[in-house]
Amino acid sequence: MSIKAEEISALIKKQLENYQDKLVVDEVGTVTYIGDGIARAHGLDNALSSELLEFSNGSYGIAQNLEANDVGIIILGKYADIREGDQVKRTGKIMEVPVGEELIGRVVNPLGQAVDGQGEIKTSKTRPIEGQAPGVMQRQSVSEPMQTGLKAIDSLVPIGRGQRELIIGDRQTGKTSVAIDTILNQKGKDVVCIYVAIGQKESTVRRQVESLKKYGAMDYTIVVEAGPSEPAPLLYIAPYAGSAMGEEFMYNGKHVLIVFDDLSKQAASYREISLLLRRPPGREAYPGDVFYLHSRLLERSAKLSDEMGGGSMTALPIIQTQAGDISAYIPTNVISITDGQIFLESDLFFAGTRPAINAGESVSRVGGSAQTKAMKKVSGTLRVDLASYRELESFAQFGSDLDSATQSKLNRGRRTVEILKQPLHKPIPMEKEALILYSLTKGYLDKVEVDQILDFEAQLFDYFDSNHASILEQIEKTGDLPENLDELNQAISDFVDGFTSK
Amino acid sequence: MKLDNKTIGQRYAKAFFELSLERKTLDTDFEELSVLMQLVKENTELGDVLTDPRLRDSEKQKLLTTFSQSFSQNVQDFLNLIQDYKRFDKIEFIIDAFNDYYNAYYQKATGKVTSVVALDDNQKANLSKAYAKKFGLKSFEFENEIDSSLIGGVIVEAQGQVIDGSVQTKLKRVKQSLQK
Repeated sequence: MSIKAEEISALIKKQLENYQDKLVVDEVGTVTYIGDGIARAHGLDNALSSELLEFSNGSYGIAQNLEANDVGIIILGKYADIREGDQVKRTGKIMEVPVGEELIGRVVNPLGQAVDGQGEIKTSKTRPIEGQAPGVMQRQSVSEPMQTGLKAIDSLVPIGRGQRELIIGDRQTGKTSVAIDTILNQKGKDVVCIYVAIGQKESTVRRQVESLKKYGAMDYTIVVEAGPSEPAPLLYIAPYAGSAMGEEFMYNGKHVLIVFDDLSKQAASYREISLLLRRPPGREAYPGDVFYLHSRLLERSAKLSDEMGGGSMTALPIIQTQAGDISAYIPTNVISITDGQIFLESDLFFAGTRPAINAGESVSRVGGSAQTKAMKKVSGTLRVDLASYRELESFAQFGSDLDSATQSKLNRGRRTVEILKQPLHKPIPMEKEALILYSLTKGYLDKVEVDQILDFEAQLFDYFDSNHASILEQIEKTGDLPENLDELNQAISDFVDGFTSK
Repeated sequence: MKLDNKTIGQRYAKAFFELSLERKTLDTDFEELSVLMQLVKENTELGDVLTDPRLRDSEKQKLLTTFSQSFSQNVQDFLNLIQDYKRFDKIEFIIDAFNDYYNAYYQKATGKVTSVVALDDNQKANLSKAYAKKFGLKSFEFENEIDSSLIGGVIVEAQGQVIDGSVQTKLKRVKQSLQK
C-alpha cells in the first residue's frame, strides 16, 4: 500500500485545526504509600468509587477505598517507578474496555490490549467493566438449549442459553476440558465464546488457544488472559472485563458463552487486594463482600426478553476445590449463586470415566426446560438407572447369586456408564447423542459387550450417516424423535444384528 | 485503629483555631505558627527529640521552653498541651491543618505557580486576582517556582488541583493526538 504524503499532512492539518487549546483543571492527590500493587494517596477529595486514576508514570489505577483523608488505589500495571510524593490525577472516567466484533479471534489482556502479537486492536466502542445486571422485566426464562456436545452433560445436566452452570472439582479432573469442548461444539451455531483465563499458567493458556485454533474455534472466540505474573488487580478485573465484552454481543441480540477459568483464583487475588487495603478479613481471610464479588459478576449473565433483542449470555464459571471439599467458603458461595453445578471427581477420572461427572451430585436447576424433546425422551430414565446401578454395584461385589432382574439392572448400568464416556475434544451433535442414548434406553445395547460399546457407538454413527441420514436430519430439525419410531427401531436393530454377528 | 497524621492534625488545629477565634487573636496566632513552622522545617529532628522516650519529661520541657518563650501565651499553652499529649512529632500536620482553617475563614488559598521566568509583581497580582475570581475566593497567595523545561506558560497548583497551561503539556497533547 502506498501512502501519499500530502494526504497525511492534510490529515494532520485537519487534526491541528480541530485541536482545542483548552485549559484543563486536573484534580490531583499525592501518593503517601506505595507497595504490593497498592497505593494510598492524600487529596483527591472528589474521587468517585472505582474511578480510574492516572499516575505520573502513565500507569492507571482504580480508586477502591475512599476514606476520610486518603484513597486506597489498586494499580493496573507497572508500579516499580511510582514514588512517594508522586502525583495521582483524576480522570473522571470509570474503567472501560474496548468491545466489539474486532476482538473475535484475538487473545487480549483484561485491559483489552492484544497479547497475541497480531497488532493493535482497533475497536470503535468501549464498555465499563462494571455494569448493572439486567433487571426483572428485561429478562425471560431460559428456553433454548446450549449444547455442550458432551453426552453426559446434555442428558443429565442440560444447560440452557442464559444459564449459569458451575463446573467444580479438584485439580486435574478435566474442568477446563469440559469448558473447551463446549466452546468447540458451538461451531456454526452463531454463538460468540469468551474464554477468561484467570491465573492460569501461560503455557496452559497457549495450549488451549492452540487447540481452539486447531478445531477452528478461534473464529468465534475471544480469549481474555490474566496470567499469574500479572499483578493481582488485573486478575481481579479479568472476569468483569470479559463480561463487558460479552454484554456488547448480548445486548445486540446475539448469544454468548463465557467461561471463567477459574473463579477461585480470582477470589484469591481479591483477597490479596483486600488484605493489602486493610479491609477486615473474614472467613478463610476473604473480605466481607466476597459473595457480592461473584454474585454481581454472574448476575450479568442472562437471557434477555424479546423486547431487549432476546440475546443471552451463558456463564460457565469454574471453581477448583481442595480434596473434594465443596463446603469450603468460595465453592458454597458460587454453588448458591449459580443455576446448578457439574461436579467432577478425581476418583472417576482416574477410573477412566471421562468426563468424570458425578451424576448424583451434579444438577441443573433450569436447564431441563431448555432441553430438546428428543433428549428429554431418551434421558428420562438415565439418572435413575445410574443411581440404582451405583447402589447395586456395591452389593454385587460380595454375592454371586443375583436374580435376573438385578443382573439386568447391573448390565444396563455398566453400559450407561460406558456410553457416557467421551474422548477429549470430540463433541457429538445433539441428534447423535439422542440416537445412542435411545439405543441404550430401548435395550439395544444389552447384547453388546461392555468393552465394545465405544466401538459400537462409532460404527453406529457411521452407519446412520451413510444409510439413514434422513432420520438424523429429522431429529436435528424438529428437536424431537420421529413420531413413527418403526423406521428408527428397524434401523438400529438391523445394525445391532450386523454388529453382534461379526 | 491508629489515627493517621492528618486526622490528628485536624483535631488539634480545630480546637486551637476555635479558641483563638473566640479570643480574637487569630492573626497573631497565625503569624506565630508560621514562624514555628519555619523553625520546625529548619530543625527536622525537633519533633522526634521532644517525643523521644529516652529523655526525661523535665529535659524535654526545658527544651520546649527555650524556643516557645518568644511566643504569646496562647501559643505557649497550645505547645505545652501538644507536648503533654506527646504529639509534638505531628506539629507539621497540626500547623498545616491550622493554615487550612485559617485560609477557609478568610476565603483565601495558597499554592504554587511554576513558570519559565520569574513573574513580575504586576503579573503576580493579575494571576492571583484571576484565580481568586475563578474559585470565588477573596485572595490567592502563591510561591513562584522557576522551571525552564515548561518552555512557556504557567502551571498553577493549589487546593488539590492543577491548572496546566504550559507549552510543554500542550505539545505533549498535540503529540498524543497525532499518534492516534
